[in-house]
Amino acid sequence: MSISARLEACARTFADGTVGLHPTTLDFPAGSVTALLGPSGCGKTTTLRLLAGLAAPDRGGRVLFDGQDVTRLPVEKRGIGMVFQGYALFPNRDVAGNIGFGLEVRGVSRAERDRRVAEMLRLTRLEGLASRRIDQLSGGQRQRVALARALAPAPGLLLLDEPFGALDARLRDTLRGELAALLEALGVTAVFVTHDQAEAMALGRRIVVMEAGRVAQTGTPEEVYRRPSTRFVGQFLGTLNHLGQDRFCRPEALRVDPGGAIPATVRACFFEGGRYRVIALPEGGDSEITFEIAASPPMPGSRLRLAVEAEAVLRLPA
Amino acid sequence: MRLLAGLVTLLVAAFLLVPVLLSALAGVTANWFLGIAGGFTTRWIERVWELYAHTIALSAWIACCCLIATLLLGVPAAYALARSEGRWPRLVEELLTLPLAVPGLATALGLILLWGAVGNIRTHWGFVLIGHIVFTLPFMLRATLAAMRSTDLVTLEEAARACGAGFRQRFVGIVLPNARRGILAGSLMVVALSLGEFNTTLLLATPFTMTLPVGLADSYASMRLEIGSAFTLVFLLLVVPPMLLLQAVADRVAR
Repeated sequence: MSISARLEACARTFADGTVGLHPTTLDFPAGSVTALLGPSGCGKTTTLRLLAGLAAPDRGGRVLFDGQDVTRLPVEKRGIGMVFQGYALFPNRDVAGNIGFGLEVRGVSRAERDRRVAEMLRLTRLEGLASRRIDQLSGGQRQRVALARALAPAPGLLLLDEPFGALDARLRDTLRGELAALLEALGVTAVFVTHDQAEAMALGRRIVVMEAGRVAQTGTPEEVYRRPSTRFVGQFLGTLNHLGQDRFCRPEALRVDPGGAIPATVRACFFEGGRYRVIALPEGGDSEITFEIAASPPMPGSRLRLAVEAEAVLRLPA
Repeated sequence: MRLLAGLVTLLVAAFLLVPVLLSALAGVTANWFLGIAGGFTTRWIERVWELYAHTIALSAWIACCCLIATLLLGVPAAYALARSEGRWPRLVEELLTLPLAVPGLATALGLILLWGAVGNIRTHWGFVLIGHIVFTLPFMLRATLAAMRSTDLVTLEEAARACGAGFRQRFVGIVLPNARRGILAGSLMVVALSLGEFNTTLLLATPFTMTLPVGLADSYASMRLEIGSAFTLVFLLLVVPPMLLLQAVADRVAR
């Protein structure tokens, strides 16, 4: 049973007076998967902790689950599932003991608990590891145990804090795919925090980009990538080429064209597997621009002309 | 090189053990000044038992009470300190460990000044117990706190809360089990220190509330050498095996 969540005018000021989050209103519809994306210190983790109940909003802010005010409800009564950064698995319990903890404290019977733990082990592909100690697990296995532990009591809202932060890049890709499929299958409302734009775009049906304690933009991955509302959002979600004044474009909006309007000198060229990434300096310009080509890489120092599709030009005032 | 290391180890062991062994040996000789030639006897041991059995019982009792008290006070205090951050808790922590550096005699004097006027507390064994708690509590606190800090207790507890665990459930199910190594180490230390504590106890004890080490001193001071030595032997036989047993049990549980 997934629930909808809402933060209403939630702000958070820390004990030392610094503002972690300016008054923010955000909706998380039932069954949606939302990424909170931004650099460190942007307020994304604070937002997650407000939803969890691990932090309380300043006066006037409200947290609503399915329309019910849960602002004063402590974490343990909110019925959420949470995956912590670094996982925070219980070292005194084995894998099954960790996964079953949430059921145990809810007074679920032994038989039902065993059944549910077995189901979670299967779902997260951890069969055979039930009695392993936590320190005998690999990073990827720990991540899955943390996920299974959060999901075992069938929470209506799943919160994930940098769920792939501690893993190496390749494993991250694999697990990202697994998690996306799992969230899809379960239909649980999920909110996760990440500073990795690729992760946010791969997992989130919706991305909330945050900057300095404020929401900078909310939208689908395509919207925030193709139509960023500010330079910050544009730059955070990928490479942004400055074409002069308030005009910007993405690398894929540029192509080499002998009749193009932008003459430029090639600075560097990197082979990236499927294609080449070229960095060039426009004539008379002072900031380098990046574009991609499929074949015949230009030599550094060579001159070429670039054309840009008019509808792909972004106007982003400073 | 190996031989040399072995030799040094042996010498160190001898340096530590020979005085104790000699003293124990003296306890079973009929007359130490005649040496082994004078023959062996268990007379002195019986005499010690007659004269000082009550100090042994009191020591064991006080060690138990002291352990319970330091567990009840030290573990919650360590938990509170582990959860709080900032300058004040640090200061409290430093203050709580200060008694370690204060001579036992000074602590005792302070306790007498503070508590001396309260009823007939001075003649009650509880007064010695108070001294022992003051002396051993920092050890329990430090050991438990170190264990709690090393497991990132704060995050583990947040994780337990997110799983739906109320305070009792997470304290019993997560906090205590993950601090058990420290609690056990602290417990062993408290029992050992309480059994052997002399400095503070000497001033706090009366002839009726004499603990084992104070009794030992008393026997050295006022009985013949063989009796004092026999007491050392009794002390070793009574204290060493239980401590070894406790250590073994603690090792098992900690694993």
